[in-house]
Amino acid sequence: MCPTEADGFDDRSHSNHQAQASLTFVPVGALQHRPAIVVTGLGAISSLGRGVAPIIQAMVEGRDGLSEMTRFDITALHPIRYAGWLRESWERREPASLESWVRAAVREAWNDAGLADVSIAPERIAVVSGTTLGEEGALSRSADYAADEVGARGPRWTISTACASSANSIGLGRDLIEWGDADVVIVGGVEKLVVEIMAGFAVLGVLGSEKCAPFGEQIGTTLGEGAGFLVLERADLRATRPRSPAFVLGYALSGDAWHETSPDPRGSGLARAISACLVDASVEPDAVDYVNAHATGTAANDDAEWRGIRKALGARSANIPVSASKGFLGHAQGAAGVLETIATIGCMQLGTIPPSLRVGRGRSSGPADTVGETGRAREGVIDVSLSNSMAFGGANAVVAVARRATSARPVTARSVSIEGLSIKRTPAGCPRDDVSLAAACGDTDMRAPDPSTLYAIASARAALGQAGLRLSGASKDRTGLFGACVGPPRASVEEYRESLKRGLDRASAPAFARTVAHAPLGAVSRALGARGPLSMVVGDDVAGLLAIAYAARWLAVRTDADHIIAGGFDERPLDSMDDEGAAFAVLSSEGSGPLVRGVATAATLREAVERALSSASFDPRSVDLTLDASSDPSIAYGLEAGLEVALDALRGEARRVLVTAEGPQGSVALVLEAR
Amino acid sequence: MNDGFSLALTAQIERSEQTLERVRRVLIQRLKVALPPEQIDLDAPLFGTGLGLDSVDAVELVIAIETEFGLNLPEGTAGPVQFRTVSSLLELILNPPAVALTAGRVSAAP
Repeated sequence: MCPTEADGFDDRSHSNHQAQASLTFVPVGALQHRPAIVVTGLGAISSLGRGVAPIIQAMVEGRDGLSEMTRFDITALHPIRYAGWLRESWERREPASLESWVRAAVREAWNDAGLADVSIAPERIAVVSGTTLGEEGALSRSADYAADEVGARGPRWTISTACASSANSIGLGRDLIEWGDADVVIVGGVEKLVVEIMAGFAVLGVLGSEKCAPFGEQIGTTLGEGAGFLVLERADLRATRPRSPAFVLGYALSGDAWHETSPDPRGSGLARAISACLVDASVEPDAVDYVNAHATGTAANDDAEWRGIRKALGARSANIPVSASKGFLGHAQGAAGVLETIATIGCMQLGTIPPSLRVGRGRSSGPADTVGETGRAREGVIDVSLSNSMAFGGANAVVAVARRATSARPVTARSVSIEGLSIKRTPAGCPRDDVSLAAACGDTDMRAPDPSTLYAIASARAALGQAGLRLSGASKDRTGLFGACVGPPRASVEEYRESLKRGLDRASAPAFARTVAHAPLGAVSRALGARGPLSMVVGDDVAGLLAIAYAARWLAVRTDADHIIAGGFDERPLDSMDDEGAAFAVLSSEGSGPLVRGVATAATLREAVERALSSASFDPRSVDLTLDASSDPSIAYGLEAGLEVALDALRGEARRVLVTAEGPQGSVALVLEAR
Repeated sequence: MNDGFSLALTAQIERSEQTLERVRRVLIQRLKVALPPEQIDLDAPLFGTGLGLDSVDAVELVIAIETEFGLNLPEGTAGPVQFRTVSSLLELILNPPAVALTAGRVSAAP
């Protein structure tokens, strides 16, 4: 049943997408209204089967999708044997194919949105996909498959913050629409279980010998896999109302700056993300009806998470239903956030509350109501829900989804400036100078840092110094970290691979913890104490400037950070002498450096430039200099050739400089102006 | 005037000192403890505030000790008690438990 008032839909029939206003940087200080963003389609493939319906059906019946793993041999990991894996399709002799999973989930969501027969300009359809491992380490391929499935030609982003990836993707998709980069965005994520990942979690000691029971007495998690995607659209641009709309009210990110694999036991990082998400969503804690917890079933996660929920929701936490979907699906890592959001929306539409499985008497330090009394979905109305994701490296993401659009918080754009930039680079052909690199990391307490981590810490630290910033107390909570890379840190991946030769049960846990793409970023957060929003963009030569663009927009319209250290790093293959290094800039909301006046991402460079200039209200002829930050595959080199040269020029004669990047993932443009 | 007893004692002390050196090397090279060998004291706690190892390192430590000293530590013989300090680890290596049939491992559950 659709409410008629304040539901975000515009009853005027729409025709001209471009005519609709979107958020801009200028005029700074002016109030801007945000459009309601509606989820118009859902698609999934999981251990419970193909489609969204089997997930919801299983929750209604109280039946899980976990079974003994037989797709690969894990006898060495005895007594660990369960996983939420796609057994059914495997037994039908369909190969476990990341591509086919992505395509199936995207197709279902697209058809569900009723877009199969609607003509939308392909350039206005964007994709944001989240994944830890991607396809054999090719992280950005899942976004390519998603885009190809529906012929999308807009920007294609990949987020990789391990188990927080797809939750971050949902939020970023919302942003892309708000910013006018796209009219329709396909958001979600995918993960395929491989034996190396199971071994890694096993040696970390977090896998249980029985099926996982989040918030229950049984300790330990069970891994899962699958894909989930949503279609997001502007409610006022939809010609037809979806049958049962769900709105993305807001999201938030944070970093624990605590440990490589364990969450901050106090739950502080998650609490900050929940609170910031509620502000973004314009929702009071008391208005939250339900929390879909990350709840993996490990002692470290579930206890810390519950503390975080209590901290953020205060009195409301006394009796709020908090349940975990991992007892049904297993922990699908990069796809977990979106699959659990899908479960939440599906149950919400049915008038039920998603249940927890196998809670039994529950833990002494857990939620009072885990919706675990029968293991089946309980009848109940959810208007506003939260979905938590907590990942390695202390990355947290929280998404708020509701049955109605709230009158979204209007935003007042703040000015954003670049306060410092530092590049630590080893040019092609030159040997890496480990000693001076380690020295540049200062007194950072590091064990076995890989080159990506060393470069990232050295560069981020120097950038902070240049900006004249010293993080302490509250400023740590308000300083974020947005990174970019091409793939996971190579030396650590190699070290982990090497350790697997000792046997699956003897793989190196410390090396495994360093193989996630954002591990170096987690190390930077710990080294500097930066606990604000944390995100990791993965991709080709565009990724570095995308991370900067994401940070600039974050600071412009949100109130949960004052500084974001943004940039990227690359690490040469072990047997090569390629260019490598890191480049990080400090972006601030109340600084004194050159201003970021406009940002856009688009299908083509021309469009990105046009839209960045128009969001800055600049005449193209007023630009003194245009620089390409994607002239080289190295992210650090690209930012040096683009951003550093731009900042130099702005210190000299130039008033306005355009920095661009162009690649297979799309184009990005940034307009900078001297003070 | 060496009698048999003091000879044996000297040999035992030498053996523990050599073992300590090897343990320090394992901790630095395999577990990446960022300290010079002479600062790894016998009474230093291995985990937490001492040498800074944590749950992530637990299995790695068992494997490193087994490999370095050719031991096979059965389940339950290498746990919090044996892994408390450098000294208790040394004791485990010098007087290893009887070998069982299964490979040893401890839980690294955080």
